[in-house]
Amino acid sequence: MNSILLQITSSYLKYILFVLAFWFLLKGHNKPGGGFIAGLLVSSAFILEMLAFGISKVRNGMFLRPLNMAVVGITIALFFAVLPIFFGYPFFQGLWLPDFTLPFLGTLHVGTPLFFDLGVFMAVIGFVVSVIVDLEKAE
Amino acid sequence: MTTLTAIVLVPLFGAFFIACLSSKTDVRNKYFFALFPFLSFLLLLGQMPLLEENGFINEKISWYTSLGISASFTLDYFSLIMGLLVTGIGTLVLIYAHGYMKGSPHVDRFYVTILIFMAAMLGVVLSENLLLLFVFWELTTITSYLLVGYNHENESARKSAQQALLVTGIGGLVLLAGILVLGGEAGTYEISAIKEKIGELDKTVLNVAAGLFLVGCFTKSAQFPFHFWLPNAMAAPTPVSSYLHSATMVKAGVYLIYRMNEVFIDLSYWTSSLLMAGSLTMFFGALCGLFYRDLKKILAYSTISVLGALTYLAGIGSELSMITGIAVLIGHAFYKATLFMVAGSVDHEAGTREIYKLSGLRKAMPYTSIAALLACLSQAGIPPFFGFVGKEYMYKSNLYSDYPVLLSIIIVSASVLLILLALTCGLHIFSGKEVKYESKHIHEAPISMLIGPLVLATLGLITGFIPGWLSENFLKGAAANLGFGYEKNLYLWEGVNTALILSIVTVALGALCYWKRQNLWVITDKIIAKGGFRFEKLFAFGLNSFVNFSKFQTRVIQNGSLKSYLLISVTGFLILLSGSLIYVDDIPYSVDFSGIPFYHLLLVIVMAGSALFAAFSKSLVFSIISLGILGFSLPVIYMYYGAPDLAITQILVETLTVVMFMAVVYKLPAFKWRNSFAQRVADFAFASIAGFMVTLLILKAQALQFDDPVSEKMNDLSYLEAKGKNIVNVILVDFRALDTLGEVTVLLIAVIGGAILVKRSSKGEEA
Repeated sequence: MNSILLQITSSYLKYILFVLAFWFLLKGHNKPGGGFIAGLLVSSAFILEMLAFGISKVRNGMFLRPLNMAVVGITIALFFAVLPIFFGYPFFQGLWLPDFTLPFLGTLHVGTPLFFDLGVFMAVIGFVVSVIVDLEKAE
Repeated sequence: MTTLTAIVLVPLFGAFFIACLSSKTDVRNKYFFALFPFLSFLLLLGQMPLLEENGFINEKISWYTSLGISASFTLDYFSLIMGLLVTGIGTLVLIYAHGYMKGSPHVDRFYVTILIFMAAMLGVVLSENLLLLFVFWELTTITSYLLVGYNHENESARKSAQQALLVTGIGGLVLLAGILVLGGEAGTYEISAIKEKIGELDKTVLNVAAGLFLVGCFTKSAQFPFHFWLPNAMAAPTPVSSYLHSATMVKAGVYLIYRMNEVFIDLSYWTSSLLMAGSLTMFFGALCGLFYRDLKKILAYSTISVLGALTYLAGIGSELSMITGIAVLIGHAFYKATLFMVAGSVDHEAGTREIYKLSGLRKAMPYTSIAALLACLSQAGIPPFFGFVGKEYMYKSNLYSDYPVLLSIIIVSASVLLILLALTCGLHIFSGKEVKYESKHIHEAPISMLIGPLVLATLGLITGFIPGWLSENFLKGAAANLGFGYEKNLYLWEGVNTALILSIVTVALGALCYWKRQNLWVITDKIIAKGGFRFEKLFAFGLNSFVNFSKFQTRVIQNGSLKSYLLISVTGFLILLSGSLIYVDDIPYSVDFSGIPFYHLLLVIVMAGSALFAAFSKSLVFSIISLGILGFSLPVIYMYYGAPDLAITQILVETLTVVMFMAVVYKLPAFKWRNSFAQRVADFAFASIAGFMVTLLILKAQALQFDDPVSEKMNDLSYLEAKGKNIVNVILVDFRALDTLGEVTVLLIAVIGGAILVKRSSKGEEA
């Protein structure tokens, strides 16, 4: 497939989808969204790119191999699940930093669930992209 | 992070360190690997003053409080003794391994695995929580599997490893069932808390739990009829045999029996099983040892025999027998580890372990022979060795038990045989004429292979002189921790009494047997030639039938046709479903349609239409597109009922599914009906039934309300406890985060499986 329209649209849409996904990831705790949805969004951005340019562009564009991405994601999730133990709380207890304010961003609430969600986010991306890569490879 | 946790983690850290190191450099001097267990050893010793002050030390890290799972460790005198043995002998074994394993390929794997094993074993003896204990228990099984199969090019080593894994692994699962039964009844998995509640527990439940515990412990500790895996496990390198299969791992079962004895002691069948299995194992273990000519096999059977002794002592269940058991356990660890290391050194130097071929090694290997002599005299129970003290009190325990005559006869005859086995391994091969060996010039083992045997053998001698001190400082405390406090100390010499006379008779008979050993060997050789019944064969038969059954059911159920997979899983689902539909019979058959907006009707028409179109379309592409329409209509319903998260997810998943489908379809051959018309009608009927049943289920689910919906509680707690206003996400990352972690892990496993499939199929095409 070689469609100029699709190629140009997808190269812009990709970044819009990334930003949207990032937004969903950060705001997920209070508004619709979360790591899973954000991961699916990013994956669909990659799929769009695959449809427009082919699989090799997707593979070259990722800074981690998709399978490694999934592994890193799960490791992050696991780490933040175990982290509370070192502070004397049970496994998976949410830990929160005190709220702080940054210029442009406003007041931030940062806690382990966010990072856990980040792990889920990466695992989902890794999963979907590797499945697509595998399907492409299989003849 | 506190000391007990650190004690368990130090060897684990060592394993990690060695694994990282070995990929970078080749470490010449592997002595320093022994520092890891030694550090744990020192840490354990350092706890002694605190232990003396408090009686026990407890550390608890909450893990999953609602399920009663916690990383809680307790150090009392019994676990201290076990811990010191594990780390102390571990240190010596690692030093020994430096000499023994030299030149072996992948030697770092050996160090990594054995250090992980060490951590697991420390975990077993320090765990306060039964579930935690189980985790470590299984870890010892797995590492043991890897260590037995260390020479993986050798088929018999692989088979032995698999056998050990299956026997102890299945036993481990049975033990888990026992733990769950016991913990469920007691409402806690903490051993001390269970002990406090003994009186309140239901007798029937306790009986069930006791049976399951017995199977778990008997498989681990190689009790009759599960004993056969241990001699086969001798395929492992000798440091492994000496450490896992005599001094530590096989004692884990005994450890748990002793730990739980207080809980189950009132059940008559617990004690009688221990007595019967233990005394049988002790006698037959020693008897079987007679039929082997390989040093390591002989040692393995005498180990089984002593494990039997430990078990029946627990079965007697008196204060005297329990403290004796602990003493025998210590004595055995000293001399048996020594004898194994000696056997390894002899094998290393002479190139054989056949007792017929070995003789007169004392000149070539003087220090090794000294260690062997000391150890075998301790095993034979000659004063003033510690083995004598153990045996002496064993006889006393028999005399004060419920069956003094019967037990005494069995145990004395087993001990006679054990003396013969001990002297064969420790004396026979070193005495007599020097003979020529096929291998090169024989010389003394290197210093690294002498330290371990000499230290342990000397300890067996020294402790024989100070049983009073030992029992004052360790044994009495340990027995009290187990709930069998014994007031008196143990002594080497208690004057002339029945036990001493029995001891003298035993030693005399043992010496006689040893003197006439050649005649005995001729007789047993004849019996071997005739063959005989072995439990191993029964096990092999069972295993084979199991494998054949698995192959059969795989052929039937997993035949590779997607359609039949779907049929089978949906049928299974429907069978389960109909069960619950029948049991509760208040399905509201009339549905109230009022209050449903008319545009829902439109949506229903669209969805039903696209589903039908997908089923009847002759083009795969159109089928997929119409399924996509169905999928995209669903979120509308979600949105209507206020579930934006679900709707977004559904839309995204649907998009991805359609795209992926397209990617696959693109590569498929052109579509055509493959099934006959009749078959398609049957499929249609099946699908309709399934749809009908699911509709019933939904109707029923709406009608039933057992309890307040959990969602309300989550709604209330969401912002207060998890600081989130989006409940869906709070459930995902906080309330049910463990589930999420599990699901994400499943994703990863699916990806790996997919990658392997793709790799395979593309390789297959190339070939």
